[in-house]
Amino acid sequence: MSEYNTPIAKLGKRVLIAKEADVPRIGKEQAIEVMVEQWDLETGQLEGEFRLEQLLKFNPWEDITDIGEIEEVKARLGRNPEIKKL
Amino acid sequence: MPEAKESTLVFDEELETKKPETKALVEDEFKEADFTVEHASAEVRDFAYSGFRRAAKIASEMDTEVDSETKTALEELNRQAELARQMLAGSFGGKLRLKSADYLKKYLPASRLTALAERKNTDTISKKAAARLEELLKNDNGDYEQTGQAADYFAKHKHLLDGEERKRLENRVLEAGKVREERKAELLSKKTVEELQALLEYEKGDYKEAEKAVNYFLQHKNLPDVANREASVFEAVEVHLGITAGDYYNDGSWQDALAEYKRMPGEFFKNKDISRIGNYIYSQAKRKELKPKEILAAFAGHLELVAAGSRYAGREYSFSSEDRVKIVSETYEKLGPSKYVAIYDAYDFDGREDRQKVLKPLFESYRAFNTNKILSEIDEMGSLLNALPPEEHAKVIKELTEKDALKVFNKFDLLNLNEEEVKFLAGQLRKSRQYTCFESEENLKKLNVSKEEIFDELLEKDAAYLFARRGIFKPTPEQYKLILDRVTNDIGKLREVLRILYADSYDESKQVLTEGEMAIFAPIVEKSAPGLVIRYKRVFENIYLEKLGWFFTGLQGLSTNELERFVNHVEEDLGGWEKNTERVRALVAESGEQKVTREYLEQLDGLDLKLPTRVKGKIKENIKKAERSSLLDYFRLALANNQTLEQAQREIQQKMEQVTANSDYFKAVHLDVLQHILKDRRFKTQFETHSSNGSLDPSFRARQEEKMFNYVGNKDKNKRVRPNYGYMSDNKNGIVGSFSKTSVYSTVGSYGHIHVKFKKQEIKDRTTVTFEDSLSNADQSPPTPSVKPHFTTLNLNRSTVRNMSHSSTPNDWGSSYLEVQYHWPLRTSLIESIHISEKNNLTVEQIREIQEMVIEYNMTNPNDKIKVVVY
Repeated sequence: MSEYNTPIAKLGKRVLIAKEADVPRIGKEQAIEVMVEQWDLETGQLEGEFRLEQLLKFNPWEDITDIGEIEEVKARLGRNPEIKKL
Repeated sequence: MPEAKESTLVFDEELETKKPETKALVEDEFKEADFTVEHASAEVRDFAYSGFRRAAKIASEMDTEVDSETKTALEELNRQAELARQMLAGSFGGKLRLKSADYLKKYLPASRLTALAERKNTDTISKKAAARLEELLKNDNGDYEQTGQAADYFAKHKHLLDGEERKRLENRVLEAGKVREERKAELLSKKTVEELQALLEYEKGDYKEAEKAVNYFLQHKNLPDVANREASVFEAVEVHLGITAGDYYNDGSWQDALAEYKRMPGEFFKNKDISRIGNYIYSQAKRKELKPKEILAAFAGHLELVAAGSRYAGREYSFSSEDRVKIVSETYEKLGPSKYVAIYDAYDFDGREDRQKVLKPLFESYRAFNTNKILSEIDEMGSLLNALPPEEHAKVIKELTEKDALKVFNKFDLLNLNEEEVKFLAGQLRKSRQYTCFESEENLKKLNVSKEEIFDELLEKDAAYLFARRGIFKPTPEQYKLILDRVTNDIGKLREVLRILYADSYDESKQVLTEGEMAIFAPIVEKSAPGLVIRYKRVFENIYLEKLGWFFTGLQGLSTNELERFVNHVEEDLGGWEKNTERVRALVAESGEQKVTREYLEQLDGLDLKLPTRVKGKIKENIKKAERSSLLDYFRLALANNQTLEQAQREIQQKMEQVTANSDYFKAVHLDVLQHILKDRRFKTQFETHSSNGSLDPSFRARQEEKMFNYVGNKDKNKRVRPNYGYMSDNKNGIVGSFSKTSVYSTVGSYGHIHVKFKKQEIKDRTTVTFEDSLSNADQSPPTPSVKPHFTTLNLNRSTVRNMSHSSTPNDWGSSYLEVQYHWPLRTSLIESIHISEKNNLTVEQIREIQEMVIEYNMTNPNDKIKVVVY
């Protein structure tokens, strides 16, 4: 995985991965600067890099809080050789 | 039968003396032919001899048997007659008159007569000769092989040619000769090059014939094609000597290489960079750990190899100072000045004396030593420079470029410059604006320049104020005025003057400007832009506020930075403050009226907006604030378009209203979200799905939504009563961006590839719009109702009004999409249709799934049926 290594949100089969260092900034004054990667777990494709706040504004993303879920996402993204950037 | 006359067979020229009878015979016989003795050329004599032929013929017809002696005589006659005829038929030495042709006919066979008849025609002769010459001058194969023959032919037959033709053919012959020589040279050159190339053949990793190649080259270097090969020859020598010395394969002999180098003519290496050769041989010698003296002995006579071979030989090999001078000096002799310089650079000479010794030969041929070098060695060269003859000395000085002038000036005392040279130096200093050189009385005297003279120039070059502020010159009041007049037009310089004269560290307790100084500045500042006043407000405000009060009062509340930015824009981009003062004044006056906004707000109150009251109130408040804070942007627009403030604002207004009026309302969603939407029959926001122990803290958005709409700033309160976000597009399928027959590039694609279209009439009154992402500029470019957007919603710093036309192509005006805020609640009953396509990243299966989903929804919601449009 790249420096984006912390799954933070899901919306169906899509997940948002943030940089660990950015997580504390979410919701704060610099929230607008936080960038995330949006992945489609079903196709294994990276859909792009976007501003988190904009994504959250438009869609009802859900937090990923379950550690098991986080690890599973990480494992899937790390293991899947098919994963390629768009 | 006529009696055969006896005659003597004589072919000599002493016809008159030896055969007077024959001569008489000739004279008699050809009297009528108009021949004279003068014309009695060889032809005539020959012709006379043809008489013998007659005799012989007659004799042969004689019946009588002749005795053997007569027979022999007759045979001889025949032979002579034949010869005579041939001679007669051959070339003519002079002209024959036509009448003689009759006589010729009597005695010569017809074929001979024909030939003669032709030949006696001089035109024909001339033409034939010319034709023959032309033939010889043909250059079929390009090398004029017959040129030599042509030249010979011309020499023998030029008398047959008439004047013009002769001249022409003579030139042709000369030209052909010249070409022939060139061709020969070319062929020679080609051959020579081929031979040289053969010597330069790289065989088994070496140029074994390198030495021969050098000698061959020197022998034939007069040929251009050969001269061009010099670099190749040199390269071959380099490689060969390197191999010989053992540099390449560590199996060689530096002594052999040195010996071979010595055998090669020294002229070949003149002005060449032999550093590699030197390095190959010298470094191999060094490896043997020879002592410096041994090195010098081994390389005696060729110390240039030592010099070239090691750039740091002077330092690393512990050569004595004396040895180093010797090495470098010998190098100069061998390699010439230009290569010497490079080597000189590498050597580190201990003292001035050594350096002078080494540099002396260079000075003696200073032209090869570029001026920069001279100047960099100015310490050493000062006295040597002076040792040059005056005209040479002057030449060096005259070669100074402007940038060298300061360097030379700094060593002024070393150089005994004459008056002319000083003048030249002073001129170069002035050209290069080295005014520091004129800063003192002493320097002015040195350079023989007067204060007045230099002041005028300083003034011209805008440096006068610098000198004034440094105290170098104390300007007279008149001069001071001149300085200030010159900087008046340049606000930067004027500020510079002020900054320098009245330092930034303004002390409240002190009066910075004296009355006299204030008097000087007053007229300047009056004419100047308020920029000065802005920056030096504390200095000028009390006195000049009255003059510029309209500006400061009218724009009260705006920050100093904004004002200054605006003023700079007017000064730098719009032609200057003075030019625009009245227009700005008019805009300031107009801004107080807020005419367009007042009208707008009245109209807004008349609309049936389905927005909470607090939202409407907040919108109005934001509009007023944004108009004020962005006022200078509108000023800029109005000035640029030569409009009033009202006109500029109305234009924006109209454009925006037009764009939104022509657009529909959409939201882009993912397939997974659509399922939930249709199930829940409404659109949720992330405020609702946020988990308290999750990372997706919506606090930031909550605060932004409070700023924009007065929604509760607490993220945990009223989670459902929050705007939902979408976009507008005038494309019927909700595309924003671009599309082709096969694909869609959508700027809202990150939010989803399913475009949900809302019922316009039902939704429009519950929506606000921003012309860019609302989160970034919540209060500066506030959201306003989509049915009646306000001009403050558009961020003029990022958008181009006049490019605005379609909401489906927001890139035209500098945005990604036209964002819509759907105010609560956003229910599925407001959906008109769903637009989906394989072109927009959906598979056939997904499209089918959506269709089935909607069918199911429609079955359970027959009053709110949703169409599916597959495009």
